[in-house]
Amino acid sequence: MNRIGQELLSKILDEHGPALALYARQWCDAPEDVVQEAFLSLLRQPREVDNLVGWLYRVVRNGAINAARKASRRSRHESSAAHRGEPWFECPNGQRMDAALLVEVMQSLPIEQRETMVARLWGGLSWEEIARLTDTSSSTAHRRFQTALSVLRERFPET
Amino acid sequence: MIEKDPLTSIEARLSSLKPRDPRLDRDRLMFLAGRASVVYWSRYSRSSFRPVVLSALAAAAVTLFVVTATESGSRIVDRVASAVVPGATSADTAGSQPPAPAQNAAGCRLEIGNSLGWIVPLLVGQKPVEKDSTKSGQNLIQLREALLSEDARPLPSGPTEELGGDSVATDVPVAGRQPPKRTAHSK
Repeated sequence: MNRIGQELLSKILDEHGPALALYARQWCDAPEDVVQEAFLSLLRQPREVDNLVGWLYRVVRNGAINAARKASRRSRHESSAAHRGEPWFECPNGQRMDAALLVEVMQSLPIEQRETMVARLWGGLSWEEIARLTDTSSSTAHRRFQTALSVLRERFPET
Repeated sequence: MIEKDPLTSIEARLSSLKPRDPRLDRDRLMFLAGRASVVYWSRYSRSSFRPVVLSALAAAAVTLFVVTATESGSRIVDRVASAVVPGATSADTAGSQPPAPAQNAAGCRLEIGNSLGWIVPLLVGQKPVEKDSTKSGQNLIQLREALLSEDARPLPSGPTEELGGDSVATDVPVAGRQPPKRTAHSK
């Protein structure tokens, strides 16, 4: 069994839990279950995991895609309704409009650009880690990010 | 290169938004983390220490067995019978014969029994010492005949003391005759 102690687990949950849930939310409507299952999988690992954060993102990604496939077998309307109902970001008073607009814009982006943006901006992953995560090259990941950013720039005017 | 790009204003603005905290079952995760840690150490200790302990026990068992067999083969003698036979030759008294008490006298000595002594020669690849019952029986008969035919005299108490080990006197009853004098030493 791995050597993930309770302190390290708590730290990872605090630092990466919300971003992991946001990442999973790009595919499925039950991101908490996916993240929870990813952490359980981490605890079941027989050996120590290299690049723990990257590994968690990979597991969350696979779990979210699987969950989305299962959800698609259910009612598509039901799934999409649940998908829209959950807020993605914490909304302090001054940022409520930004959060709502961001969610709206992000949902209009292709999934490849969305996941790259979440992994980069809120996950803090490097371009190499994102490239490994998405099975692309670093330059491709960077290009996707810049494309998504250009769309967001149009919708988020400079203040 | 692209790693070191500073955050643009739009990136900084977006990253300032915090993703919503997921409703994870934190207590369950912590419990499982603690349990996984215990299971890990349990498995680790089992997998690494068990072969060592088993090997040590096996080595100790083999060592004890060899030591026991060696000790019993060299020291434990169940019975020793000695007698002086004046006309006997030296060939009849080969082996661990104690020094003869007199010039014209030769002793007969029998060692009977030996619980584990036969194992040691087999282990070291030597021919086992002949201790079969036929030879022992012949020697016993020879001793008996010598005792009956000759006027056996008691051995002095000195020589057989050197033999050491546990010994028990062999008493060979002879029906219809007075038993000759024999000496036996016990420890």
